[in-house]
Amino acid sequence: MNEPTHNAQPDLDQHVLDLLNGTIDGGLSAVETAELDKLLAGSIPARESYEELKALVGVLDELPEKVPPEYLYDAIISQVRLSVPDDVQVEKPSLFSTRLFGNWLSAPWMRTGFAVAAVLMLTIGIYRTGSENLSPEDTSSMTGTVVKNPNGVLLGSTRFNAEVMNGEVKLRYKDGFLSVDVRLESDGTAVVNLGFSGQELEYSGITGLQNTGADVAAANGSVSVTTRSGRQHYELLLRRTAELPQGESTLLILEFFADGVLVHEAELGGSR
Amino acid sequence: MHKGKDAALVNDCKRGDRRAMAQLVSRYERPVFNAAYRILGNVDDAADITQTVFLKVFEHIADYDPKFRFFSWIYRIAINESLNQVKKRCRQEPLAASQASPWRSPEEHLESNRLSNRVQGALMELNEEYRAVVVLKHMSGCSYQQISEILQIPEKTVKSRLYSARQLMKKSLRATDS
Repeated sequence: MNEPTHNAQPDLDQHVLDLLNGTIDGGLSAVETAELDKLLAGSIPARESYEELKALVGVLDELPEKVPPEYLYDAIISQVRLSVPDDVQVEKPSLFSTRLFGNWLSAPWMRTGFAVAAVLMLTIGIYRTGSENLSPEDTSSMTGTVVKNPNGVLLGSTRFNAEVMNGEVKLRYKDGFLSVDVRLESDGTAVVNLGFSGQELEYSGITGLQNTGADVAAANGSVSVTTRSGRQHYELLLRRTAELPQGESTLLILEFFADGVLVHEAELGGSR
Repeated sequence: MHKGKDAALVNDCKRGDRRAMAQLVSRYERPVFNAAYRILGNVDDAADITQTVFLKVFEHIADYDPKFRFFSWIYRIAINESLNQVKKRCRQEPLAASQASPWRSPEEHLESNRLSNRVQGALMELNEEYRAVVVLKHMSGCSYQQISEILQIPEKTVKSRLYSARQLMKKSLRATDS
């Protein structure tokens, strides 16, 4: 019998594939295991398939974990709001709360002990601090660092890829502004029109724009950015002039032109 | 999965305890981010989705049904948000999902020849349903039963999708080998 080449494995029966996968995941009965052992002993394609499958699962299980960006945790914490029903009393945790430390820590003599310890530590701390000059590293570690979220809350995004232009736009709520983050790559002069008429928004500014050949024209309810060919990345900022009526969301209209020809239209929206 | 501890933290969150909220974020930030990354193939999108997931979780914490495990609930939101983002991308851009964004980070460029990137490429070639099952089984370490609970599909369907996905990934990796 001709042995099959490695790259031309014959398709195996579904039942065989179920057995191969099942044994790798540790889910076969004794009877099924015996059946599979007999099959593997007598079939080269089955053995090859098994080895290949085992290798794939090994790689999948060992894929390295991606480390989230540094800013992400603080971004989440700073933006999350806890919705608490009206009938729930919000607990303000206390250092002497029995829930936190148990009954024995809330005893009066323990509270006195804590107070004395706190005074002692403060005294020692003041003495040590006063006895040496603080370096910039010391002061930065004392005040702590807050990693600001550079991205804000994502409200929506759009991406397109046309023959003469491709782009990606993300709408975010960031530091009290609506941020329209535009990335473009264009073969010709690119014009991006952003319309926000009737949205209780006003144009507040633009960052990241390379000035050479660029032009920004703002009108009531719209702003137009013209840039040269090539790669561009800039951020338009919009400020809210009034609260939106309840239940309504922001809706921005985007038009992309390359050398005067409309290439793409999109809408972006969000509830901020 | 810390079932009992999660339940206690969720109850504290329902009472407005932000320290409990912070603990849940610490516990699930990385797993949620990794699940989103493996489905979307992009760090920035995964970070955005992770933020969205936690915002939704805590906005609706009062609606959380304790008969389901918390990790099932948060993973379900994460997978749904990630798959919605994939679908949105496909509607807006008629390209293969495996096509790299022109704005990959330097780290992503360096990874381009590594096995993990080839595997990620093969993963991105799967349809969303298969990709979700592979991610939950192999990257999130979920059992068939847990995946069934998260995706709300029978265990038999989980196995069927997983086995088919593995076959497709084997073929894809064999093709890139040759």
